[in-house]
Amino acid sequence: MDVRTSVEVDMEWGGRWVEMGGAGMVDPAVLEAVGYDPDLVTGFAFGLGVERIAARRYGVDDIRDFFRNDVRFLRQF
Amino acid sequence: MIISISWLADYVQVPAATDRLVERLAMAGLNHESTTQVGDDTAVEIEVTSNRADCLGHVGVAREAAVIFSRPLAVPDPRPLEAGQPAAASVAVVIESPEICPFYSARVIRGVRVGPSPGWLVDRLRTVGVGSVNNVVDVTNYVMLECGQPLHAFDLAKLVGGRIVVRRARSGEPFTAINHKTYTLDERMCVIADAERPVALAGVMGGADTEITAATTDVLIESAQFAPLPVRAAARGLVLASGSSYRFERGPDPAMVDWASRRAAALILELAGGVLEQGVVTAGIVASSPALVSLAPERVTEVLGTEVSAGRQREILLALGFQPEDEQAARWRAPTWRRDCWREIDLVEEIARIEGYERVPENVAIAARPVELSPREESVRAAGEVLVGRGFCEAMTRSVVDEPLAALAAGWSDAAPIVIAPPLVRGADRLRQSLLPSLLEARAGNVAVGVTDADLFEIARGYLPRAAGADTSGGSVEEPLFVSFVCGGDYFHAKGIMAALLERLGVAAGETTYAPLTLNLLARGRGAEVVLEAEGEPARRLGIVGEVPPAMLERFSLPGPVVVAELRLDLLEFAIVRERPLVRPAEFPAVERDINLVVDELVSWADLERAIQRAGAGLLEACRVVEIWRDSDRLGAGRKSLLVALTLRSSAGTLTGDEAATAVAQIVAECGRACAATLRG
Repeated sequence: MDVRTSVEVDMEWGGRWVEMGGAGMVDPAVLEAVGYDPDLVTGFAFGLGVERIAARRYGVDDIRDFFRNDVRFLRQF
Repeated sequence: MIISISWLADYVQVPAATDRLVERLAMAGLNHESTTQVGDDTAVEIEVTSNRADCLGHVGVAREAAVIFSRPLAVPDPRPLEAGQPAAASVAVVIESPEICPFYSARVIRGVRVGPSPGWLVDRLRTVGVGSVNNVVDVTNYVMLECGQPLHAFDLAKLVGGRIVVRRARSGEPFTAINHKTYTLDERMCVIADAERPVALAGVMGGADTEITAATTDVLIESAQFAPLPVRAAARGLVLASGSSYRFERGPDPAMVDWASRRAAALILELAGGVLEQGVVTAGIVASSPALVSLAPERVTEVLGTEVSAGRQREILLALGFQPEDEQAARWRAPTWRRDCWREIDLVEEIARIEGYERVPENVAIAARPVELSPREESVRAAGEVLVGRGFCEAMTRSVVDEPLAALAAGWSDAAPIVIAPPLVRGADRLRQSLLPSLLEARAGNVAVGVTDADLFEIARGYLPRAAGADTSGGSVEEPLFVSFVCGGDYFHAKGIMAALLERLGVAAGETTYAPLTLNLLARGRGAEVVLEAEGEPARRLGIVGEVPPAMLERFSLPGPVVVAELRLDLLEFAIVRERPLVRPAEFPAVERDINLVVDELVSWADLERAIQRAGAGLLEACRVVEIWRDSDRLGAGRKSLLVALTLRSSAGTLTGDEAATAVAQIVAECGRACAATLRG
């Protein structure tokens, strides 16, 4: 995601700030590349890291657990 | 970048506690990493993004703080006293490769006394994590950490011929750095040489031969510009990153090249004595081209959605070092240290971050409308629901696989898998053409931890290189979206799940056929391809389904029986029905009739079923096989008997016995015509 006037969104977890998302105004060069006139159009872009949010929500302290495909883990959802 | 709070106070008086300062810096784009007490000082580590090379020195961070808190910034203007002979009589500088070194400057100080640094200097360096070496070397480090411009000090007496030559390294050229390790260089790198040999790896590290020692009396101070690429090539290629290489890769402020040299000379004279020779010996021209940027004040409001007055915009830009080019302030000259600011949107960002993102109100209604799920999203959701409803768990496996897994083809492509170099994941360098090998591996992983009933599915893309000469208007790689599953059970179990998936995705039973398929992933005679037979379209493979053969079970250490299936969701997006009209249940009772059909062994149920449905149209509600029976004495060799249960119903009224008998007779006749079936009494 290439944005200008951008922000990072962090959540506090275990006494630390953990980045969970980013947002901002779409870079005019990106708008131009996909056929919009950046003088006429602006865009807002944002994205969230779902694993980190899920990890925080369910108290999963190793994010790799989401990708181990262990059904003993998966069946809890 | 680690900042010493007491050092920062040399340039700006921040009217706030350290916590407040780091919070405001973070909100303006310099993220806070940590705060540590070091002796009487406080060390604050901040994250400086790669576009903000100006903040890789205390002055740059002080400038940010000065703007944020509207305080003046005080940067010293070093004017060291020159005496003795012209420096040009002591040293000559030649740049052989201006594309990698646009500018080089040298100042000479003779008669220094190299020794320990004073306490204040040792303390400040310690706060930011730099060890003290001696007064001369410490000054060069200090000035780099002050203004972001890296410097190097040579022992002038060790420079052969009093010459500095900036050139590309020669392939295989050896170089011994200050860390007393010897490196082999190549042409991508840039060196500083004397009349004979390299004495420094430009922008990265000095050489052991010419380093400042206790015996050094005459010092040459280098302050130069080096291009990012050769510095990066050396720092990465030789695993020799330094504070200097880090900054040159990002681009220090061109205006600080001479300032840093003067600052270092003044501090060395103060701390180590000696006499500064007259003038500075230079080669090349300082490369600096600050951008001219147009800005319409109303544009700021438009992008931010909140009003920042033209006066406030002007105040922020001036404080940041931007200069108006005209009376109306319609165009601004960016400061030399902000090469990341060259477009209008960059200035908008500057104004926004100094004004504070927290001032952008959250209560402004954003015009938005809910959108319908796309057919693809709908298909993905529906497929997931069907499988979760049958007790499956959703797996997430990697798009890249190793060579042995990639070799287990599902028959989607004849082309070799695409190889990624370097591999995204160690050992796994092939883009997969099927999800099934990964799912078998995932099931095996569960077996390894004692779970033998892991039924898994995944919805993800495969990567199929298009054949040479094929239509590549959609890209050279076809990326089908698969829904694939692995579970326990036999072929019929898997086929039933496949049929449920197809039904939910909007594919009518009559639109697909199952044809025998041979693949190394499927047991012989227990695997099929699902073929779509849409009207007016060539038949196309939609999916595969079958039992995993014993050899494959053994390879994955899987207890059998195990079945797999894979379906191309991307070919079915057209099919999903969003709003299915409800059918009112019929009011009249159904009539059940069983028939025994004898056919040749080669006749498939699918053929019979089609014939039954053709003939029964209107009254036939359902038909299913109850039993298959073989007896060569009574039926003849190569014959089989199928007991078929028919459900007949009319929407017009209760069926009479005669009406039902007529319908059954029509069905039997059609089976006889199409499949040579005979009725067994």
